[in-house]
Amino acid sequence: MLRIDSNRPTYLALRQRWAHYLTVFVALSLIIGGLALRSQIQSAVTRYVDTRIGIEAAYPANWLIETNVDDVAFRVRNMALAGYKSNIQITVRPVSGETTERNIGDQLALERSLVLTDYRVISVEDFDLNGQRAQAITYTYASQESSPFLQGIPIVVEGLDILLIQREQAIVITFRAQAESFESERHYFDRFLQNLEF
Amino acid sequence: MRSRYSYLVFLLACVFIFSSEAQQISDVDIDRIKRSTVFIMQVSSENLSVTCVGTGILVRYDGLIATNAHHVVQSERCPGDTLIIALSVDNDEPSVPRYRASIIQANVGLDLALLQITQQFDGRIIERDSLQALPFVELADSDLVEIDETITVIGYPDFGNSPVTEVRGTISAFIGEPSGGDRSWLKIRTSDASILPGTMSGGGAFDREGRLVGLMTSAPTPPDPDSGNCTTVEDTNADGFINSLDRCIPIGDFISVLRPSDVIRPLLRSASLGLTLELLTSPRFQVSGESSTPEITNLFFSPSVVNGQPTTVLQRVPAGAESLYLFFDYSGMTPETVYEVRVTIDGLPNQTFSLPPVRWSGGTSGLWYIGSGNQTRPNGRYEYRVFVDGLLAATASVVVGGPAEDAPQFSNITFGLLDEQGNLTGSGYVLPTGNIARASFIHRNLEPGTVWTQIWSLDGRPIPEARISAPWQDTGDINTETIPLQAVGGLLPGRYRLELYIDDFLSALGEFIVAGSQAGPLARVFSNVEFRQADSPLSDPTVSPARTYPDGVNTLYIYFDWEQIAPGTLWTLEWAVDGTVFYRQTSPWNAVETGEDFTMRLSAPGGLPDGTYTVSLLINDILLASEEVTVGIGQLPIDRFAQAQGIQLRGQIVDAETGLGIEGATFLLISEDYSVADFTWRRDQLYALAITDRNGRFEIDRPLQFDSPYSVLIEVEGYLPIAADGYEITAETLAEIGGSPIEMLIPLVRD
Amino acid sequence: MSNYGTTRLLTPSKEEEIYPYHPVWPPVIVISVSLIGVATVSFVFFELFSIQLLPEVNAVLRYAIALLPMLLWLTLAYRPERNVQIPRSRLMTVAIATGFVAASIGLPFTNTVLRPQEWLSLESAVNRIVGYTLTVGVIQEFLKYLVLRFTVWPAEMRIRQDSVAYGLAAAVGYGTVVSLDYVLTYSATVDAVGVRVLTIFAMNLAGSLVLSYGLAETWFSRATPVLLPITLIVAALITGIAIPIRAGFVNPSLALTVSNTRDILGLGFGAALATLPLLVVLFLYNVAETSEKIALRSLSD
Repeated sequence: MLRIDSNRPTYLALRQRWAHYLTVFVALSLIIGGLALRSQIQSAVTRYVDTRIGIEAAYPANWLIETNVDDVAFRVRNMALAGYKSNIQITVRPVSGETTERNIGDQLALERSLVLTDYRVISVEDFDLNGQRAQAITYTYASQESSPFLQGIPIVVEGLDILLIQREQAIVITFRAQAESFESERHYFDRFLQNLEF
Repeated sequence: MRSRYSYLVFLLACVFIFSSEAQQISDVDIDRIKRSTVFIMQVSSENLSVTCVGTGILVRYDGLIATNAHHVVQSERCPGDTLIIALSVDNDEPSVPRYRASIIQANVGLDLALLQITQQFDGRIIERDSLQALPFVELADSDLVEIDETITVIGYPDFGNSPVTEVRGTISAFIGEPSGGDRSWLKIRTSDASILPGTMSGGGAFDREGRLVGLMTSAPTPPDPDSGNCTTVEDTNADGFINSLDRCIPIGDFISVLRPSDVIRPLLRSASLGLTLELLTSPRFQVSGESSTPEITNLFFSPSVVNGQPTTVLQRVPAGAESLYLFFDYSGMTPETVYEVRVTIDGLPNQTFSLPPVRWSGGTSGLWYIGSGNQTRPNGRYEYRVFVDGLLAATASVVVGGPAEDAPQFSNITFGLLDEQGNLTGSGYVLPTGNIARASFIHRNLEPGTVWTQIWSLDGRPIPEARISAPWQDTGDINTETIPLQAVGGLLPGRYRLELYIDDFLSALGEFIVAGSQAGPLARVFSNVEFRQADSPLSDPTVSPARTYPDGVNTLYIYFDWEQIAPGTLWTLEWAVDGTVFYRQTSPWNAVETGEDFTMRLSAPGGLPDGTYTVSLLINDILLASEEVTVGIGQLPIDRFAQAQGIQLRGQIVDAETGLGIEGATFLLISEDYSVADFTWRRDQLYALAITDRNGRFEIDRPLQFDSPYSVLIEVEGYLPIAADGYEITAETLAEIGGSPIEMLIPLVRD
Repeated sequence: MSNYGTTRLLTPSKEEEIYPYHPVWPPVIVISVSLIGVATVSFVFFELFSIQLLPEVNAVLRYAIALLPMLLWLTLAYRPERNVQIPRSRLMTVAIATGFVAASIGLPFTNTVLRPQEWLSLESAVNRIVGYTLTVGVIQEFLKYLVLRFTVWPAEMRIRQDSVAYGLAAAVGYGTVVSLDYVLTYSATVDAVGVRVLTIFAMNLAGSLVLSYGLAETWFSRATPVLLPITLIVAALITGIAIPIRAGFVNPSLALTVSNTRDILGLGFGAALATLPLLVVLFLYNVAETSEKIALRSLSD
């Protein structure tokens, strides 16, 4: 059986080398393009204006929007997610001259402890919202959103409230997502906060 | 030959029609009704033991439940303080506890209660509007129900060990009482002669269209282990044994009557609108019965009732009589009292005309009747035995049969004032004070010289100077007679009665109320009805009254003046919105006799709904004053969720390659006004929304309507979405696919 | 006296020359047809006739189908190399190397970093095609290119068909890992696995063939430097188109009650994907070889 000496020297001509370089360049460019496309799709937004509470916001496109439900002035939910639907909502509460963000936070904790299962406050920190002083409260609870006739299993949800007092009202901007994907979903909320105007 | 052929065709057609009717009965949306039927456990939070059980019906999508009061209202018999609601998650399996509820309306006498689901089973509060829409039933018009009409009764036959059960039956009779009119009770009879256990009390009876005709009601039996109507299943005293020392759960007697849905309707109306009416004028008198022991006296029979009064008194009922009522005076009764009427005919028990033990729905004292019309009585000797709290209280008997008698008789007593022409004027049953009252009645077959007696009473005490016996003067075979009642200074306010006797036998009886002052032919009892608004129940009302509030009202204050109403006089307060009564209460007057600004407050969370509100003031069912006020646009807003009928849609979303259910997939049912392309992800564009559970199962909580072209969008990340316009269901297609509920199977494809 | 026999020692005629290399196209065709056949048989048995087997048997079948391309390749392409005069020496190296890069770089990068299923499945058709091209397609083909480039190209390129053989090895190596990942992750039915494995192999084969055409032309002819990146783009585009198109074919339309996927269309698409690009590339190779022969003949003339 004949064998070809595979170690015979092979050198690439200039155009062959360039072919290789171009291929690598094109491949890396396309991958970057793919990342850019992903970023573009994930950061697509829809504008929302509420003159009653005085906000302008841009929420993620194709999230389901509800307004004026219960005490919530604005709520959007990512209905495409399996499991708990990440959501962003804005609630407005009346305040007096002495009300602080901490008061609002305590009220929320008391109310939610009656309504949400295993509600726990994780942390309370100062927060800078586009140059405004606010307070950030992180918490968790177990959520079960299903018909009583179906078999739902509770899901651990992590939430983040940004509280600020402005124009004689307390504005509570809430983000909630399934705890295990909270950080990967957080970018929607961060972008929402960046685009939020009062 | 030709006629025989036609006859055969006609016979076949009849068979087809009747079999179709039977098919229609079985096509009643039993699945939805069963899901609307809940099992209620009253629990003591102290030791978490069940104290009472029963059935209830969801009558509104937001968790409003109609049931009997006796197994939910806290009492000595049922001391629990927490109500647990269990749902039929699977109609073939026992119910599963899901929620807690609170009583928002209860009438112990009518044995009706409305519960509102307020908490999850673990005690978490359910925020308003966040409860998923639950299946519910609509109320039928029980006045349209007929004898022998087929019904389906649904309830839980035991302590929750069995799934919800349906039993076919028919309406066998009606029973009339003053509290509910001729159809205070609907008697039922099961088609297979089976017994309806007491745990089904609070469950519903439904017509062919699946609407609620009435609520099954059984007697509230005491928690006595020896009674046979009580079961011990828990070691409530924690001694390690389950025996007679532990608390037993009363089951209740077997069920044979329904409370008609028309009695429930006002309670449901006010509860669904969240309306609260408060009487703010403080009572000045404690109105109570003369004795604490219930008493039943003065029993007699009458063939008919007019305005709650007997037309005449019968000693014997002619054959073929279609109506018969037993009247009696009562005292010392309370809403907790259980009364029963057993009827035998020639010594044999008759279930049709008997009333099983039920709660007392009358006042503390007064005149009561029980009976029915439009039901032919078979001949025989009828014996009525009245039991109060299980003890025989009174007996009366009458013979039905034979020709109509020619015996002398008085009947149809009405009351009024004489006008200038000598005619009787007035409402007939409410007369103003300070006058000479006159009674007019029909007499027949009285021979001259027959001794007859008239006895007038005031508030149950005979007026001595108004008892007159005299021989009858010859004035014709059948005619009317008018007799006066005169008092020095005119008649005082109160309840008057006239009894007419013939030869010492009671022949006729009538009652009227004297109240108010004379204003034309009618008595002026209530006047100056005014409405004022307030910004909240705690704020003061405005100074100026108004009849229209175009911008809406948070709280409404109502004022009226009154005159000459004796304490204890039964007066009726009725409220309606857009013509539908949401409050009706008859109670003894407990304020001063004459006064101004009797105050009431009407409020609702979030303000009164738009509508036209009417307040009516009555005595003896005579409307004496009525005013209306318009709030907002003057019409109740349409609640698009308040329709129970329609097509139930549910199903499963699965992975096309594995066949396993996909958890968390979203089923969006877009309203018929939008296509998928028009859908801009706004919640108000959706008709309904469902999310799958861990098995990939979903349910649409609102029934779909026929011939409505919905659009559907199903999506979950990782799978290709499914979008479709024109998802429309017609009656024909629904029949082809097997009827409601529609079970969908939707495979989703992964990239 | 010398006796001269009839046998004469002469140079054998051209027609009797032994081809020293193992033919590449027959194994490609046979593997493709075999996978189409297996997918069809499993579809008929498990989808149409709804045959139920024990779960253990189903599991074995799923893995067997996932490994089938590799087994066929070993039998039809790798093993026969021993029987030729000039065998290709690095087929196994390429197959294993592409398998490794698929398992260590390709799949983790796609599933963990890019996660196209999160943002592409709900997008429009154009976005899906572009998105899958720029993510799954490019990653897949670029990794295969790198393996081919640094293991066998140009050292092992003796004839044009060598690139086809190594391209097939790369397709089998990469595709087997992707198929095994699918079977391990999802408990799909046997018929779904059959169709899915066919589609994965077909996508990888089509991409590899296009890529190997570019590699062959770059080495053997005076192709422009732009050709190779273009073939990479085309190879990625094949994957980018195949994924959403297949899903779109199979996706059911909504029925009142039971909606059914159009699996037969998925099977047909997989079969078409396994054959059409093959035919196109085969044609291109023939054109290239014919052109080369014409050029050589004209030179010798």
